[in-house]
Amino acid sequence: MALPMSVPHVGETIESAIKNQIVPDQEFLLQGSVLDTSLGVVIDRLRGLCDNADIPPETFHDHEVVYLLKDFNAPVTPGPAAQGVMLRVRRAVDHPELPYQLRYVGYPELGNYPALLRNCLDVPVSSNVCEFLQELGAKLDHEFMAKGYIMKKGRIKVTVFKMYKVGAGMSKDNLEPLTMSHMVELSVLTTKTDMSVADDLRALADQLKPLVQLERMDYRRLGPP
Amino acid sequence: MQREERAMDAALDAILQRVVDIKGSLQELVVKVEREGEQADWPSYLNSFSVISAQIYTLMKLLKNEKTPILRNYLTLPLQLNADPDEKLLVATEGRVPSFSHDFVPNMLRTKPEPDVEQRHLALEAKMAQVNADTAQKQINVHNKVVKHVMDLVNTAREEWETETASRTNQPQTCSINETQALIAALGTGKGFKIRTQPPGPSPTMTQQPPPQINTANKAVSAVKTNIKAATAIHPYSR
Repeated sequence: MALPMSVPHVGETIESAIKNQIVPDQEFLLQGSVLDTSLGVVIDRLRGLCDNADIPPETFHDHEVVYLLKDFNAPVTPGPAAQGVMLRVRRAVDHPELPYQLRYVGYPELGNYPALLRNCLDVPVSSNVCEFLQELGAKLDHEFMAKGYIMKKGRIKVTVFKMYKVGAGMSKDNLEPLTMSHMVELSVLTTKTDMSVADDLRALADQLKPLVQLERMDYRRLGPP
Repeated sequence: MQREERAMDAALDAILQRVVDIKGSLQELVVKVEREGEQADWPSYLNSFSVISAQIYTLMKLLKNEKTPILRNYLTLPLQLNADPDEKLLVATEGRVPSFSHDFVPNMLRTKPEPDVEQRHLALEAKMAQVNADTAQKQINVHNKVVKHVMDLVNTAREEWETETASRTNQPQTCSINETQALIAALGTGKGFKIRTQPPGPSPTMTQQPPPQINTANKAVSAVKTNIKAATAIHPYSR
């Protein structure tokens, strides 16, 4: 998320990583959705649950472009290698001075965790990252806009956002929503050794029931794009 | 049904208590009158009267209480009509009522209806005698059909209302599983967003150019698949 609050966080993590030689590269994730009509209720509840309940939640407006890096000339073979690597570039539309974020997320790990566990790497980059990726051979796969609220509770990042299509004749203000719902995501970065934070995540998720059913859903099971 | 029975029992107990109180105070009054005769104390009489009136008032209040079932809707039937003295009744009423018979309770045991009710009953019977048996049967059938129809209407209406209130008291739907899946698929794989098959000519988003031009670049990129003319027309920076 290209936000003011994440930049110092990234700086700190880089420093701590250099110091401790530990990079939190695992992400626990829980996703759910809430209909637009009930959004206010969910935001109020989250405000109460998360830190800084006295200030209105921070909004973000991001434009994410996803590149796919794979060998496009090779014949399609089954298996994960042929699917390529998905690289996500996010920029903050409302804060153009912030650096872009390059993100790699891996596949969800197997195992009986309370939340979805996957490899995740976040890197702030300069604005010419797209050219760079294209020089590497990555192709633009898809892009979208995400607009919503971000809150945090301790180490847990809570985002509630709506995804918009970016297409022909689209300006920043003329966006077409994908669904009539907002996406609710709870995520926390951790290392392979510290798995206890998933219980906190699950506890927070349970607080949002029955408004939002947060669960770990593997997107690969939802069919090919 | 059980609730109604319990409510009925509770109401009857309460009414019985009140009636017993009234009876006690009436008895006191009678004794007082008999004992003291004409030299009786008028204020004490007034006291007794006020006690009795208060008790009658509470009895009335009890009968009008909303928790009391509507006693008018209930029928009491005598199970046994016997002119012989009933010992249990004697004991219960302290020797005053030997048998529950017409002498004691003429109004309760009467079977003849009121005059105007009786008149209407006779008129109906006369009308009934005139009508032919077949037409009567047909009318009965039609009547039954109409009543059944009305009952069906009422039942369906009731079911609709009940399900409506039940679903309204249930939590209104705040999240949809389908939408969740659609969103997760979109976030994970890009499902739902236009997938560009052709590589974009100019670099799509990230140049050193200010944002408005980035947007026009986006427009060009995204429109490539559908409207090539428009793309080349819009984008001034191509090649």
